[in-house]
Amino acid sequence: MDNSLYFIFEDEGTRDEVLGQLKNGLPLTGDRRAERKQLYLDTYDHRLYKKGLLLTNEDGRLILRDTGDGSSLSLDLPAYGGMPRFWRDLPEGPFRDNLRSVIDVRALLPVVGVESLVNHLYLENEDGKTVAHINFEDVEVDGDNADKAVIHLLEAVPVRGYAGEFENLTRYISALGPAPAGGNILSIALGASGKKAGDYTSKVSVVLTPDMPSGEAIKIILRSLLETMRKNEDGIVKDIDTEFLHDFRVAVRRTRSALTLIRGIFPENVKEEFKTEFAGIGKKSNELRDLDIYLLRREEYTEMLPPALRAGLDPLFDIIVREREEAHREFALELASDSYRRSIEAWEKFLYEPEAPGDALPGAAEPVIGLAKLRIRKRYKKALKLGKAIDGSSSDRDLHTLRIECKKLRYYLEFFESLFPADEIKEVIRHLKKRRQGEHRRRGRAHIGVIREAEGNKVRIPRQVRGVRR
Amino acid sequence: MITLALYSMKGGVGKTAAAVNLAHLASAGTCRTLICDLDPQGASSYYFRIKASRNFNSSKFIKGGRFIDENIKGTDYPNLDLLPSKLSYRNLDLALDEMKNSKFRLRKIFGEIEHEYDYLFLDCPPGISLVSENVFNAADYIFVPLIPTTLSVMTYEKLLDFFTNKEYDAGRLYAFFSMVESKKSLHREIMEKIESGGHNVLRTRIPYRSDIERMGVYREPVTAFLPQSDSARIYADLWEEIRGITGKGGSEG
Ligand SMILES: Nc1ncnc2c1ncn2[C@@H]1O[C@H](COP(=O)(O)OP(=O)(O)OP(=O)(O)O)[C@@H](O)[C@H]1O
Ligand SMILES: [Mg+2]
Repeated sequence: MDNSLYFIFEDEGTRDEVLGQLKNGLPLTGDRRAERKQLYLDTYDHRLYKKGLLLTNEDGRLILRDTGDGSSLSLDLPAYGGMPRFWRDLPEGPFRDNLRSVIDVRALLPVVGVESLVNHLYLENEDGKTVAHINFEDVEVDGDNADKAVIHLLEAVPVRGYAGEFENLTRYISALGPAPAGGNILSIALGASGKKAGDYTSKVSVVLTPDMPSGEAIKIILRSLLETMRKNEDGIVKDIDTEFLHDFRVAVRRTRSALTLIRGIFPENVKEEFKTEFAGIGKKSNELRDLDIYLLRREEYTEMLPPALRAGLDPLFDIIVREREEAHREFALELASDSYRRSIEAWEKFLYEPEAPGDALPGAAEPVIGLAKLRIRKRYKKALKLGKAIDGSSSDRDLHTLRIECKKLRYYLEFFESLFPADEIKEVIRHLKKRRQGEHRRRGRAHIGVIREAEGNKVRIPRQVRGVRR
Repeated sequence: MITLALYSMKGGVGKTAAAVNLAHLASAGTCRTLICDLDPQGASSYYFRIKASRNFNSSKFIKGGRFIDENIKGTDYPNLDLLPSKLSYRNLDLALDEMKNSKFRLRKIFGEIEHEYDYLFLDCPPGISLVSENVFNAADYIFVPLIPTTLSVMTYEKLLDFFTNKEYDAGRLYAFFSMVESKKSLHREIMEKIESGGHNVLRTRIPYRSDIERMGVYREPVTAFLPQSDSARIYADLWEEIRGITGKGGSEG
């Protein structure tokens, strides 16, 4: 249960001692034994967990619990269907809709497996009404590491409408043994397995201090971006979902943007060399990302056509699927290639190894706050100037330039976020993001234009699409 | 949420027995189910060993919102909750009468919990009153237990007349036979007559059984304390038949 309180014991003996005392002191009945097997599922970036949701597979039944209010939804999986990975692998209905709204394009991955032996007891009032449940559990946690951890715990489960009784019960247990552990069974199980929920984020999450030397601060930012890239490589190669490549590409773009900060701090040739390297890596992933987007928007595109014509898109999408497989193979090979490995090694050398004298310029020792203010102000002025020049007669090109400029401004703000008051800077970033999402939607429509133009052969689209017979 | 009322003008016909067992069966498939006890006698609350909080009363009930939320109680069965009644529900009619839209008040307050439950069962007090009109406006379906006796049938016909006069949709009204003693020829005759009379009558008949009567001793639905019994099986048949009528609605809890 989800609004339950958990009490964790060092070993079985102490737990059973408390059990004995509870049975003596309280009108407990029942004592049913049951075995329970749960596999916790979440996306790579723990989207469910971050929304207070827990998804488990329990003997072929998917259960989605909301830890906020204790409510849950469940869905029985077909016996031979295999494990669903994406929302679209589930049958239509409220379960799928709810899950979709949270995980979106991400795949579900096993987080941790839990096998418990549960003893169930009831606490009754003078009418024989159950007012709380107590479970004594031996929980075997099956994480990354080979050896399984076993937790001995006691779970106090409230019954709606009997809050007072529940409070008395938990106070009683606390007096006999440990205080309740925070969190839910997943965080407890994860703790035992040595993993942490929600420790991946695609955001730039670095903590800088205002008087930190600029050289050090920039390396911290760049290291964090490299880490994000590297964390996503495996998911790209295994083709788990499209978000790995997306996050990877964003980290590459941000790296290129952060490189523009190093003027006067590190030698110009560092900037030039690595900007070219990262531009090359980004470019090699363009085709795969484009094809991913076509496929992600398949439903949207199809619905733009009158129902009678929709089936006509299928052959086109069949081709895109094949094209994408090819593009994925190519990019996976690229990530495994010597040249990629060499680029990364050179980059790591720059980021992690101590600088030789002369590697850093005088600006490297200046406090980062000055650099942050100066560069943000410059970007801001530029964006403002471009923005002011926009009017009814502006071309798509002008708008595009403005959009890119705003994105650069947002990246700078994100790099230096920790140097400014959190609520103010977050608000600005949020605004800039909103603007971009508006653009995105417009771009989505432009994609259809791309397909239409396919016949005219004007735009870069999947090679074989041009050969589609009508 | 599908709202099902167990209603009859006549008292002691098996409304509460049906409400309690049907709700228990409904919740056993992962459907979130609530019983609302509307009877000041609190019989269904009693069957679940639930007492309302001291400070709950009829005027709080018809205010709805957080007063409902705070007073719903979990039964001993998963997915099954109950909103207990209070003796002060005797004044429900008067309290409703003072409200705007007084005939639609229950519909409004149940509308507020629509997304929390798949099924809502209303265990109604006997009689015809403002409370019952609220029930007719709030319920998607109204099930009337009918003991196959002359007096029962007469009151059922009165109810049908009432529906016609007030222009309620009698299509939502279903009768089922309750406390049937098939050894009695009068029971048999009356059932045949009604079933051929063109009314909505359910096929399943609830017989007179001592284990149903003993629910008052066990204070549990018969489907819970004697799940293998004949009585439990017959209630299960009744629930299947009702589910067929209401559509599957909310098979996911
Ligand atoms: N099928 C049955 N067989 C035997 N006894 C029954 C049966 N159904 C109900 N009873 C008993 O008959 C009495 C009245 O039943 P119940 O309370 O369900 O009727 P009711 O219509 O809800 O009554 P009221 O109008 O007072 O609310 C109860 O004591 C109950 O245990
Ligand atoms: Mg009753």
